[in-house]
Amino acid sequence: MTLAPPSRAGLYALRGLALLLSLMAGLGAFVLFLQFGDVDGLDGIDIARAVLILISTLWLAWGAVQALIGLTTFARAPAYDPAAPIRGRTVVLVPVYNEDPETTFSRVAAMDASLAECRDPAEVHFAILSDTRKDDIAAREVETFAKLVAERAGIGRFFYRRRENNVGKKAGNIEDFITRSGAAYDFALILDADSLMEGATVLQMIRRMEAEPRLGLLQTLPRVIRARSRFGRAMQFSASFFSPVFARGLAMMQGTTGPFWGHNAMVRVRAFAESCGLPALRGRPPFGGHVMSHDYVEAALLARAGWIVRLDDDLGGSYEEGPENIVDHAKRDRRWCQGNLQHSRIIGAPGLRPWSRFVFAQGIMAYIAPLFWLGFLAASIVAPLIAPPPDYFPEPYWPFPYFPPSAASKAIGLAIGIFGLLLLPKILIALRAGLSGQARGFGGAGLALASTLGELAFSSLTAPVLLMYATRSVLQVLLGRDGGWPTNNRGDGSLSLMDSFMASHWIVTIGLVGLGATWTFAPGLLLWLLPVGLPMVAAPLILWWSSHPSSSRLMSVPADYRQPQIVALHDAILARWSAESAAALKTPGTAHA
Amino acid sequence: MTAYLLPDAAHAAETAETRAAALIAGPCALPAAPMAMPPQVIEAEAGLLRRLVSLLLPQRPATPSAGAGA
Repeated sequence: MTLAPPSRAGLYALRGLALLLSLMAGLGAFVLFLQFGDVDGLDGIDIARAVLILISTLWLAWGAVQALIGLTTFARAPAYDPAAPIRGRTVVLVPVYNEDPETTFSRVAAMDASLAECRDPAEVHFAILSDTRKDDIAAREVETFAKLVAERAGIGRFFYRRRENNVGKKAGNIEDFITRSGAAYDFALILDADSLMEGATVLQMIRRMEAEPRLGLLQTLPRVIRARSRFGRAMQFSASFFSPVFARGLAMMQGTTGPFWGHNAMVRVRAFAESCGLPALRGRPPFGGHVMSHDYVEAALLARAGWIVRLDDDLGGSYEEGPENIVDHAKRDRRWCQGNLQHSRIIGAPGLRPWSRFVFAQGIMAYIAPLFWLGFLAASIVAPLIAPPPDYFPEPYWPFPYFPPSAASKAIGLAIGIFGLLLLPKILIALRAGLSGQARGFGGAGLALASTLGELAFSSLTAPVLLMYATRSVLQVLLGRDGGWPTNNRGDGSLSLMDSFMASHWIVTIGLVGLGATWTFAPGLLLWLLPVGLPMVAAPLILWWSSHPSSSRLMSVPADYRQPQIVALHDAILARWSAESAAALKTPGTAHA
Repeated sequence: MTAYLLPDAAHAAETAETRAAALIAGPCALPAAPMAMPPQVIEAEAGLLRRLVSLLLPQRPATPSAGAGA
């Protein structure tokens, strides 16, 4: 079964429908809130709150609509010959930055072994592009690279270079490769240090690039693997179970202006070189300087130059690893936040496709949305302070008091609507997985539904904490503080109680102050705010608990039941290399004999 | 025994290091096949706010040049 490209009219109709449904949800919440506020007379703060809830609901609804659209179809392959002979030459680019060389280079060995198992004569090279700043790690990189080349007979196929100056970070690293060596290749598969891809997937990507000469970039949907902690497993389950449906919705709406997520994607080198040279933005960081979230920009530039950028969500065999705790997640999110807010400088670039501009706006909104929610909560706490006292005798000379009608039903209706937007897509995804048989990979329909409910409970618990981190990130960027590029922590990831407290005491303080203020000024709101306030007060415990390994069967993913071949290959190679290194350390005299 | 092994180990390690360095400087150095990657225009000449403000503000008359003999 192959996928026919949607017509332009169909694409615009789908986008229009998605926007219309989101607007209807947002306006519905706006009107309902105005009715709620009107019970004791509308004032300025009521209107401000209604606008804040309009924006927040619109954003929530946009995500929900994307999932609903994604539920209408299943991922399918485009039209191409999956057995066509490969003509072009491909390079797999592995940018590294202070990562552990053994872990990273053994991934290269595994991918090369996986390609070899396909017995395809296609020419695929590997280039390790080091931006490592630490000399001791760089020395180990050279040593491990020699081992990699020897083991995989990689002379002529494996390359390594370390930049003296890591100008432009990852985008600069790739650009440096293209300007030095780009003409030697037709396609480049861009990976992250923690990416793993099956050889068969790589070959199919090349065939798809060759089948569509206008295709400039082909993005896969990487699945998160190897999560052990409660937080990591919740993210892994979400990425494996929910994300494909959201991605399907996105793929249906974006047409030929697809996404680039910076890794696990293949580019046509000529297209990339012609279109994606990124100058530094005017001014200083955080808004000026080098483009941080370069991937979105590169996707937009390829589309501007007329190249197709496509997400092929039917392709399996594409993996990445994720953060194991909330602190590492927040650290990564801090970088992404700065990168996305920096796009406010690029959104007006001449000649961009409207959808690319929309994607930039969407990325910015993803980070500023928490501010609207917080604004709404703060305004709701303050509102009773400035509201006029109730007038029980509005009619002069009338002896009986008038009690304003309760607006509780409208508030409850609004809350149900908003929670519905959050919960309904995930519940529907679980139901469809159960009916279609997809849930079998997640332990069966019952376990998949239980995992979905577990994920909903878990994300309700962690959402207020993540909301606070996101808000802090946005404020830091707006205040002009550059977050820099700390190395990702991809180790065990468990946090001590003290580490957890040090990372979140400010959230506890805000939670306590918020609940105290609510109790004092708006006691009627306390019950409503407890689901947000209590997780904030318990933030250190949540950070600590969620960073520890999970022994539950809940949130199992297909990779837990059947280890992907490439993961097994990598595990075996890494285990062997680690054992050899340990043995060499124990017997220094015989290590190099 | 240790006295005998240590210089040997050091020599072996040095040889391995030299071999690895020669590898990345030689056959495993990136191929020389340059391709131009021209910088693209990724931001408007002036930001939206600046463009709006410049539209709203009255334009200043051009400063007259000092001229010869001024």
